[in-house]
Amino acid sequence: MKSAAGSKLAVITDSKKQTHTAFALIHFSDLDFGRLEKELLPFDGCVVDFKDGATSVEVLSHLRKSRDTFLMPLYLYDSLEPFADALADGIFADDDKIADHAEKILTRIGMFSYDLHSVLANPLFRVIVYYYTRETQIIPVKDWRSPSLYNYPLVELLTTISENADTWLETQVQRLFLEKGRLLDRVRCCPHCGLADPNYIDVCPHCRSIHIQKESFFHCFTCGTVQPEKNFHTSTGTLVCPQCQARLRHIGTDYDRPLENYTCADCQSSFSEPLIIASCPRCEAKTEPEDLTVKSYCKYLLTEKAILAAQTGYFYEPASLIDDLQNVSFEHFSFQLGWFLAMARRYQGEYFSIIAVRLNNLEDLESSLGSAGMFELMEEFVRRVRASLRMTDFSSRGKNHDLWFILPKTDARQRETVFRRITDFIEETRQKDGIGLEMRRASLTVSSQIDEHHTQETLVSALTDQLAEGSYEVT
Amino acid sequence: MITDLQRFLGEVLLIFSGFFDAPLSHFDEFLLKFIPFALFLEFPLYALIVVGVFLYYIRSQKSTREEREYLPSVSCIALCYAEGDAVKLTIRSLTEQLYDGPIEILAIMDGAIQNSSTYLAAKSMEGYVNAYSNRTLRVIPKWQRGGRVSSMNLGLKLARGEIVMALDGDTSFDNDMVYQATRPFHDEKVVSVAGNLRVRNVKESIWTRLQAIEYLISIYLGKTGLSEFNVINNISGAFGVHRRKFLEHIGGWDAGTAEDLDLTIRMKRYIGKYPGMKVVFAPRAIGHTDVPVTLRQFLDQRLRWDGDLLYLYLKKHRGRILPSLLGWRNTIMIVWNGLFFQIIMPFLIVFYTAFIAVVLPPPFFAALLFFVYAAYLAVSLVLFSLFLILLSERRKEDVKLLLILPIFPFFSFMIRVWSAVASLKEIVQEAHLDSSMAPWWVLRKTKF
Repeated sequence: MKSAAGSKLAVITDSKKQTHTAFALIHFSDLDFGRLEKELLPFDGCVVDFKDGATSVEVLSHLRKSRDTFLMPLYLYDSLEPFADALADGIFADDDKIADHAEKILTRIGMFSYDLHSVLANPLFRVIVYYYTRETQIIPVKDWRSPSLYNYPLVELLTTISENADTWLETQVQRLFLEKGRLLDRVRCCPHCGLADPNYIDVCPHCRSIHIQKESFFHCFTCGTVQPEKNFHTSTGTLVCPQCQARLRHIGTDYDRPLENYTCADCQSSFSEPLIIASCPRCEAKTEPEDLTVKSYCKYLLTEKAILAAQTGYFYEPASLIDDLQNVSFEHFSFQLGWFLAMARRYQGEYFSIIAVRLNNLEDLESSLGSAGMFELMEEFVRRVRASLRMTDFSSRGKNHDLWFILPKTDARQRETVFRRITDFIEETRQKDGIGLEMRRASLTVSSQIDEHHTQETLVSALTDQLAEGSYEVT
Repeated sequence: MITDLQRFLGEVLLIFSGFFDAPLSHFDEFLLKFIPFALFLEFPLYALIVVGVFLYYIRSQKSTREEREYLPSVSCIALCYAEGDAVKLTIRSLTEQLYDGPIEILAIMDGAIQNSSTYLAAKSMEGYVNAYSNRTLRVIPKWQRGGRVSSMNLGLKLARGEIVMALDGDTSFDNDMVYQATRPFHDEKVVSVAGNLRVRNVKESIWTRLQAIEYLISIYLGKTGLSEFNVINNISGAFGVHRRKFLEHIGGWDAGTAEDLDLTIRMKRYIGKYPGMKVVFAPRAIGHTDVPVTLRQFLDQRLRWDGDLLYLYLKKHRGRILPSLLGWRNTIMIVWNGLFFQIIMPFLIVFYTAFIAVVLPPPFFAALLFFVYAAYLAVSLVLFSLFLILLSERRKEDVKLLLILPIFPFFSFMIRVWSAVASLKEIVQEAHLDSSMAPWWVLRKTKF
C-alpha cells in the first residue's frame, strides 16, 4: 500500500496468508538477512510480524544493527516483550496508524541535506541521527530477565560497540552531545558480576552464618537481672524470675523487655544487630551493601550541539577527539586519585605523578587550518598520546578540555620524560608554517611525604589554578 | 475545758464497756437500734460472702488438663477516649499476654478528632503488636463522639473472637488475664465473666489507698464469694468478658448510661428464662485501673456512679425486677444487695444516725457510734484478713494496707452518706442526662 504521501511499507512475515493488511508482503523464513535487506530496498519501512516472537526480535535486532536499515521505521502489530517493543517505532494493530506514524519519521529523514552515508560510520552519529528523526528520548528498558535489570537496547544495537551502553552514554554526556533527562531508577548491583538487585540476607556479624535466632530478653524489676525470656517461663505458664523467684505478673510494672538480641547457632556469638549482606544469586559473591555498585538509570536527550550535528552532518568540536583516549570519567579519575593518595600515604616508597594539560588554541587552529585540517591534527596527536600511555595509566577529560593523567610508580624524572614525549608530539604535528597545538601544563609527583592536609580535591584545584595561571610546575 | 472533755470521754468509755458486761437494760436499747441493720441485713451478706470464698478456695485448688488446653480466640475491645499515652500500656499489656491462643485488639477511638493524641498513641503501637504472631491490633477511629455504648457495639460488630472483652482504654492487665478470664468459658453454661479490678495508683494518696481497700473487699473478696452462688450483681464496663454469640443474641449493649449494670440486669433476665446460664466472677483475671486521687475527684465520680444506679433500678428497669422474669434467687439478690444495700441503706444510715444523735444523750450517742465503729472495724479486719490469706496474689503489697484499715470504717460511712446524696440528686435532677459517658445528644434519644 502506498500511503497518502507516497511512502511504501511492507510486512515481513513467515505466514503464507496475511489477509488483514494492505501492505506488501515479504515472506521471510530462512533467516537470510542479506536477501531480506535486498528485498527491503524498494520499501521505506516495515512491520515485523512473526508467529514466533523470538524471530520477530531477531529480525528487529538485525534491522536496527545494519547500517542500511537502522533508520527505517519499524513496527509491531502486537506487543512482544520490553526489549523488542523498544526496538520498534510503535505498536499499532491498525495499518493506517502505522502509515501515519511512519510518514512523520520519513519526512524528517528526507530533510537531511547532506549525504548521510558519509557520517554513519561514526556510532555517535548513528545514535544522534536516529533520535533526531524520531524526536524521542533515549529510554532505558526495564526487563526483569536482564541481569542488569535496565538496558538501552537501541543504543547497544545502533552503536554496535562492545563497551557498556551506560558508559558510552556517560561519555557522550561529558562530550555535551547528550544530556540527562528524568531519573527513572536507581539499582544496586553485585560489584563482581554486575547482577542487579542481589538478595539481602541477615547473618551473624562474626561468622557470617545465616543460622541466627532472635532472642528476647526480660528485665526483672525486683532483682534487676536481665536474662533470655525463655529462662523466665515455667511449666505452669507463668513468668518467674530465675534469680529472685519473684512472680512477674504485669509488663512495665514487674518486668520489661529491655532488648532483643540475636544468637548465632553456628558460632554461639551474641549480637544485637545482624549484619545485612547482599548475596549474589549468580556469582555467589557476598558483599556488604555499601560496597554494592549503585547505578542510576535515566532518560537521555539530544543537546543543541547534537541536533546541530544531525542537521549539518558535522561535529563542531575537535576536542571531542580527546575522548578517543581511553578516558575514564572525571568522577572516577578523582576517585582513583584519592585511592593513589591513600596508598602513597600508607606505604613507604609508594609514589605517583599527575599531569594536567590544557590545549588552549583549539579555536584559533580551527580558523587557520579549517575543520578538516584541525581534525587531522588532533587525531594524530591523540593517536600518539594513546600509544605512549601504559596500561596502568589513567586519563580523563576535565573542564575546558583539560587532559588529566595519573601515572602510577612514576617519579619526577620519569614524569618529565612522559611530558617531553607529549611536547615532542606537538612539535612533530606542527605544520610547516609553524601553526600547531599550544598547551599549558601543570604536574606534580606525590610520595608519602605529601602534606597531610591534601585531598584529591585540593590537588585537583591546585593544579587547575596552575593551568589557569599558565605556570609550568607544581611540586 | 479539758476536764469537761475528760469527763465526757470517761462517760463514753463507761457506756461502751457497759455494752459488754453491764445490765441488760442498756443492751436492750442498743440491740433495738443497731441490730436490725447490722445483723439482719448487712452481716448475713458478709456471712454469705465468707462461705462463698471458702467454697471458691476449695474449688480453685484443682483444675483439669482439658481446661488448661482450652484456648478460644479472644477479641479485646479497648474503649478509648482521652486516655493519652496510657492507652499504650493497655495495648502493651494485652499484647504481652501469656496466652497461646489468638488475641485481637480493637482500639475503638471515640471522638478521634478531638482526641487525636490518644488516637496517634494507639496507632503508633500497630507495628509493635503486629510483629507478634497471634496478636493483631486494629485502631478504629469514630471521628464523631458517640459514647461508650456505640463504641462497644461497634467493637462487637467488628470482633471475630469467640470471646469478647469490653475493656477501658486506661486499664492495664496482668499477663495471665486472658488465660484466667477465659477459663470459666470452658463450662458451656457460662455466658459472661466479670473481671477483677485493682487500683493501679495505690501509692498516690490516702484516698487511693482507701479505695484500694474498698476494691479488694467489695470486688475481689465480695464478688468471689457471691459468684459461687451465681448471684453476681454487676459486670463492670471497664472489664467485662462475654461469649460473643450470647452477646449478639441479646442485642449488644443498650443506649444510656451505666450500660454495664444495664447489661447485667438484661442478662439476669435472660438467665431467669434459661436457668442453666451462668455469670461468674474470675478473681484471677486482674486489671489495674487508676482511681481518683483527690477527695473532690472521688466524690464527683461516685456522684455519677451512684446516681446512675438509682436511675437503672428505679426508672429503667422498674417493673422488671420480678421473680417471674429474673428467677427468685436473682430477684432476692437484686432487691437485697442492689436495691436495698446500695440505694435504701444509705438513707437509713443517714436517718438513723441523725435520729440517735437527737434522741440519745451525747455520751450515749458517742459510745454507740464508737461501738458501731468497733463492729465495722472488726468485720473489715476479718474480711481483709480472709482476703489476704485465701485470695491475694500480691500479699506483700496488700498487707501494707492493714496500716490504714482502722480509718476504713470512716471512709465506708462517708461513702454511704454520699451515696444518699447522689440518689437524692438523681431523683431531683435526673442527673444521668449529664453523664460524661456519652454526649447529651445521644442520651436525649434514649427512651427513659
